[in-house]
Amino acid sequence: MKKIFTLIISVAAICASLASCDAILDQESPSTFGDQIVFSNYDLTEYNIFGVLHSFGETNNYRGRFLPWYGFNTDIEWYNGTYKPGDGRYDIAAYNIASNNSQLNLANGPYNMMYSGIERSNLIIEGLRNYGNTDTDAGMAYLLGETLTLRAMIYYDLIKAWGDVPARFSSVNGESIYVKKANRDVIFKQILSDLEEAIGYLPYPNTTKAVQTNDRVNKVFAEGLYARIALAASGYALRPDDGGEGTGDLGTVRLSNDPELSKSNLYPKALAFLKDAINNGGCSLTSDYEAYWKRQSNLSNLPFDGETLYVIPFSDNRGRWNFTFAVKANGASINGYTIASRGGDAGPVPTMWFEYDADDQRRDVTCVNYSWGKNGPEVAGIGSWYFGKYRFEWMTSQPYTGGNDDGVKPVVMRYSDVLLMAAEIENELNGPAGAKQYLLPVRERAFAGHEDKAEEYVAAISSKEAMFDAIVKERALEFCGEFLRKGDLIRWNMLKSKMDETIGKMMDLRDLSGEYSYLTGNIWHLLSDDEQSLRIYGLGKGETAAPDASWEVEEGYVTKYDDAKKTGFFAEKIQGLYYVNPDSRQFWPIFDDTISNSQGNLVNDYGY
Amino acid sequence: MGNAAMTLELIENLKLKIDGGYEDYAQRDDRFYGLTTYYVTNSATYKNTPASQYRDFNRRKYRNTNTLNYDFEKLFNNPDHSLNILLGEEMTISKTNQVTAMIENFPLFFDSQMAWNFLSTGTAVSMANVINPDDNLLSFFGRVNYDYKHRYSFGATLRADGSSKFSKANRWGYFPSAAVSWTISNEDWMEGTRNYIDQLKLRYSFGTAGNNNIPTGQINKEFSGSTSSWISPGTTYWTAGKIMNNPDLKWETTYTHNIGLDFSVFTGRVSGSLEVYQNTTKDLLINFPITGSGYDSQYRNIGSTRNRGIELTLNMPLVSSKNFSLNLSGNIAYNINKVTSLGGLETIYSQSYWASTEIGDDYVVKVGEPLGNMYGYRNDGRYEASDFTYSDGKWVLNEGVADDSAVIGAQYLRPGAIKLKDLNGDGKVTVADREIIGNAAPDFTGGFALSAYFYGFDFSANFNYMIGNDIYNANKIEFTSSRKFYNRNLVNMMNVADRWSSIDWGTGELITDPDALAAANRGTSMWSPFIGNAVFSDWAVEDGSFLRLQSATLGYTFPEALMERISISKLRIYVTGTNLFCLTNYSGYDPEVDTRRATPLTPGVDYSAYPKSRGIVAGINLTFARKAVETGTSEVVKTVSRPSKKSSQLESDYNALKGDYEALKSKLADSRKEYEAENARLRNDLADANEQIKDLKASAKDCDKAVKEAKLSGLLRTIYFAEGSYALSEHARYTIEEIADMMKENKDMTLSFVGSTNTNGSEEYNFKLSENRVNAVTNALKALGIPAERFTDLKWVGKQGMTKSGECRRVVVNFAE
Repeated sequence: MKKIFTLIISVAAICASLASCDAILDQESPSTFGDQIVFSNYDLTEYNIFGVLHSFGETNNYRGRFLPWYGFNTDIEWYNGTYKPGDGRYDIAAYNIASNNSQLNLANGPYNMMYSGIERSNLIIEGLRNYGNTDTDAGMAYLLGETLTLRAMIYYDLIKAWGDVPARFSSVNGESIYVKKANRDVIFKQILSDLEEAIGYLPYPNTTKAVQTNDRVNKVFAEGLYARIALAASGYALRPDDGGEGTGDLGTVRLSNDPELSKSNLYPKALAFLKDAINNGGCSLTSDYEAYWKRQSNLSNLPFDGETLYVIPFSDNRGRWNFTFAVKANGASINGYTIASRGGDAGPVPTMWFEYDADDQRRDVTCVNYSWGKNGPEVAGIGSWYFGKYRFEWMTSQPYTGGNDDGVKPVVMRYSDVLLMAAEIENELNGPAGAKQYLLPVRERAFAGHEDKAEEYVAAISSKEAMFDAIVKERALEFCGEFLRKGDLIRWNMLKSKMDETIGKMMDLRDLSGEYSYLTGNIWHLLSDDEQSLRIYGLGKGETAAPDASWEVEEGYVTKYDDAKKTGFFAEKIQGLYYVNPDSRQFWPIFDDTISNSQGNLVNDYGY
Repeated sequence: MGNAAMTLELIENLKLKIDGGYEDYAQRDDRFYGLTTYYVTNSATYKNTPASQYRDFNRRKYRNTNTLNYDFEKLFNNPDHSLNILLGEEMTISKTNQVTAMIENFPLFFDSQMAWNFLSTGTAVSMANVINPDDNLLSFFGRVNYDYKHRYSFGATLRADGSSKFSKANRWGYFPSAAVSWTISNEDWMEGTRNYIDQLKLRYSFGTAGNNNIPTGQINKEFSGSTSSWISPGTTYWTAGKIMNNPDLKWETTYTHNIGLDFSVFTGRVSGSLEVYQNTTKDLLINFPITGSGYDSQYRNIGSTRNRGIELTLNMPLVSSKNFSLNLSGNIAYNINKVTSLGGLETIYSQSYWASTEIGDDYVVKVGEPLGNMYGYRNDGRYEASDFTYSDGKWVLNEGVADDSAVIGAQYLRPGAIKLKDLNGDGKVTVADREIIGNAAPDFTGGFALSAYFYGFDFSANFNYMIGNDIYNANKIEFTSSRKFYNRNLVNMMNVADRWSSIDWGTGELITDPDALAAANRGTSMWSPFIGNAVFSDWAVEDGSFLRLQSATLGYTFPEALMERISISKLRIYVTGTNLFCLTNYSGYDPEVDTRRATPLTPGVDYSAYPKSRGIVAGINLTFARKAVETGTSEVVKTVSRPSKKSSQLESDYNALKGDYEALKSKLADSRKEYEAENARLRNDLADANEQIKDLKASAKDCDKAVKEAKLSGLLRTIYFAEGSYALSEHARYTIEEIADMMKENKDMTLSFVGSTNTNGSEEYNFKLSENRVNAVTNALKALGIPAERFTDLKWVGKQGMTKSGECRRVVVNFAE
């Protein structure tokens, strides 16, 4: 009896443990949420967008590799480092890059990390479309608009750097891990239509709480980005034959064959958006050019200022903009701005300063010819110029103490770009008359205090070609140091020709010939009153002798070079503005690490 | 950690065992970042102030196993067959979570202990409690074991496991196994060989096993939050993680086939086993890199591999007597590995990343090849001055000489640079000129041991060896290449006298005349260490075959007789050396090396490994006799010093040996483990022997029973009478005499009587007649000497239950014990 009893009890115990069978094997982590919950909630979706922004700050993504390396050499900006073919850094600048480049061939390099950002955006967009009620909820619609714009921006940067890339517009699943390159036209069309949708969801700058700061996307930025991408899509570029991308095609420089991406289709749309931005955006240009750039270095360009439309949202602990591009500091500098050599990796080409009119307030902000030594600012040599827009000495509220990040938030787009793009498109569609109203404000701000000069200049432009040339020149003067030039020259099919012009000018400069024959070759310099910069005299017209005795002289400054010993402003360095024909190398190769992990699906074109 | 078990015998031979266990594991990982650390100067939100991390990881595991075991011995009742069935169910639940907090902005004078004790003085910049999904496993299993006459045995198991790491469709894995064995030496026809063959057993088994060793949470796409200090609009961000989910994950299964022959001959002088096996693993679980898709990696079931091999184990106690014994044992294994499938891919390249991305792919896995194939260039020595002409201030490579500037860097291509082979004939050495240059897997592995005993001295030595493995000597590349670092050209093989120099050491200028350059480098053989990238060529692949003396021990045990007088049951002194020598041609520190273990696809890399040390340990085993001290067999280290020694001497002796105490303890733990393993084996043998004894006893019992029954079967006697009479006939007397004889023989037998009549006559009359008949028989027996005490039951029933037949006129005599 007792035995049967124990038998029943034990069998019952076993059955009880089996009953909770399946439930025990369905497990989810309590520390996570599925997409349905996440994307129907504003805060959680916003945090996911911060995940996309966080990817910009990855060590070797925008922060450490894309922003510091994309965009030079061009006819106005060049690499200030040693001329050394075979050195990973010089190679990137001089269009001599190989697919195993030591700087960019990294497992967490920019290509891989940008796709990580794309995947995160794809998840957000899908989630919002499925669960976000964007038709009825304006807040969720804003987040959708922001994500679409960010994705468009990342894709535009991918195409800028690599040409044709895989088109991923839905989140990765088991089948879509390996994808081949797509024709960039496919991507262009998708992101342009995404931006059209996004513009509808976004508010104008500074009109809602979300867009009070420049680290969140606003309508004017999306409209400007639309125009920027439209200009690139309808312009020239090194393209493989249609269908030839990913086959090792060498490519030719041509326009797109797709009628949807023709100038006649895209320009009117872009102009409409730009006009909306200009008329209703509430934007304006900062009248003091130097004050504008001081704000960026001083980490205070987040609140809406009228001109800045969007910045890469690095925190004060991240970002390497000044670390890379600020006026060079050689070692530990006086006043303790840095503790090691920082900045000055790239700078304006030496002839850039001469392109500006003497009354143009942009000239001495953009191009400076001194660097910081142990005892203060010193002359840097005629061959080494630095971007005066970015300075360590302006970082007063949070001094840069020499770490690996400086906290500067680089500007992605300014209002002057919107104006100049509108001028270019209006000129192309309707001639110079309507374009002058957009060119004039930029010119007037540049000639603050001499506005009549600007008005005269703009009024004198009489033909479409003259206006186009004026815009080409104005974009160089306005955006030197912001690395928009490379994209502009490529889409105008002027990359090599303009760079050849600059090489010619630089050779003239050091020989004091051509347009530089008025130079004596000497310069004089004097520390400024606030001791934060060096005043240089002798490069402008009529500056043939020292203003007074306090100025120090540098004899033969402009002509100092030794071609044999390769010192100073030597010929190989000038001619090394590009080492390989840039028109055959408009894009970077997809680097070996990504290629080998793609299991044969990615193949480099353009002869790499 | 705790375990408890309870066994109930429900009915005879049916046992239910209920087993439960609980384990609680906690790990703390607290860190302190001081003022000079990289984190504090660069990454912290509050820079240049101390920071600390608090991390607490907890795991709780619950396990319950229930098994039902039935032995069929009673059912069969036949010692030739033995059958045993087991059914079971098991459930394991494992819960983990991890709390991490990062606290910065401590006062500058805080050190680590203060920071951990006063966490509230800092500012918490991030706080996370990640609760992982439970890792649960539910299993059902059954096993059948059948043995016939201890010659043939068969066993089979089936296991079904369900894991919460996989989704519903792939959750359950079914793993059957079976084994058969034939103990040849127990066959009748092997009777003649019993003198020299002790045991010969042939066995075959087939098994499957499952593996689910991946982290939890891989099947669903789930979003979770982290702290960010990199972006301006906020400090939190959410993502779906950097590892892509995979809802199709399933069990990795290994199928093994194994044929073995166990033998023991010449009364155990030589014993061992020979095994041939094949293991195939399918659906390997690998964390596969997928950078460029948007994620860093994904867990997948991919591919299958196969291992085949032969193993031979031998044990030879050559001599075994009281004062002298010698024992040799050893094993050798030969294994071939082959990748049989990569799930649709033809090759998988991987990188060891020891030089970041400078080298690129250096391992390749191909279908049909083994794992561990190294992939690189073929070294061709160095460029000589005659390979170049010097023109225009540059060295120009001559026609027909392969150009490896794509690999080493264009500005390093000059006389003296390392030269690589151009395998595809295009005149340039590029990534297309790489091939398989080595393999990390060994052909043969094994070891052997020898132990001996001679009049109190004991000696043992253990060797292990490996033959045929290649080693990727990354250290050799690192210390002979300048690359973009300082202080890398450090080894003597790059001594200025032995390698290429391009500098005229007299003037300090580069030599530009090819003849002068060649002359200056006559007698040197190595290339110039000045190179742009690390280059992996077959020069860095070396044969790592080795023979190592792992440990050797020499000891002496003092004679027991001597020791008993001072109440010591055993005193032994010994010296042991570990890693005494390693014979190898490998030029690095140690041929047993595998440093890049992040993925199993890059084995055999020697990069910055710590070499094994050699050790010498001396010690004493001391066991006090039971009567003297109740400490049993605890080992004690004593300084062997005479009382006349000074106390300082004693102290230094003590300190010296104290250091060795820990080493001794672990050594003793090892020998205890060996001892216990031996014990377990002996116990098993004993259990087997006991089984056999039980069987024999059972059959003996049967025997007795059979004998008794045989005896008793013919012992029911009937004595018949004539109609109406109770007189004993001649035949009746004869029967009674027989009965009496039997009673006299079996002293403990007793008799009972039942008298009856046929139905003729009345009830009363027949009743009396039957009584008379019984008395007649009993009196006759008494007359023959059988006492009345031996009559247990006297019964007479008259005609009750009887028939007309004469057969009923009887007395039935029953025997009982």
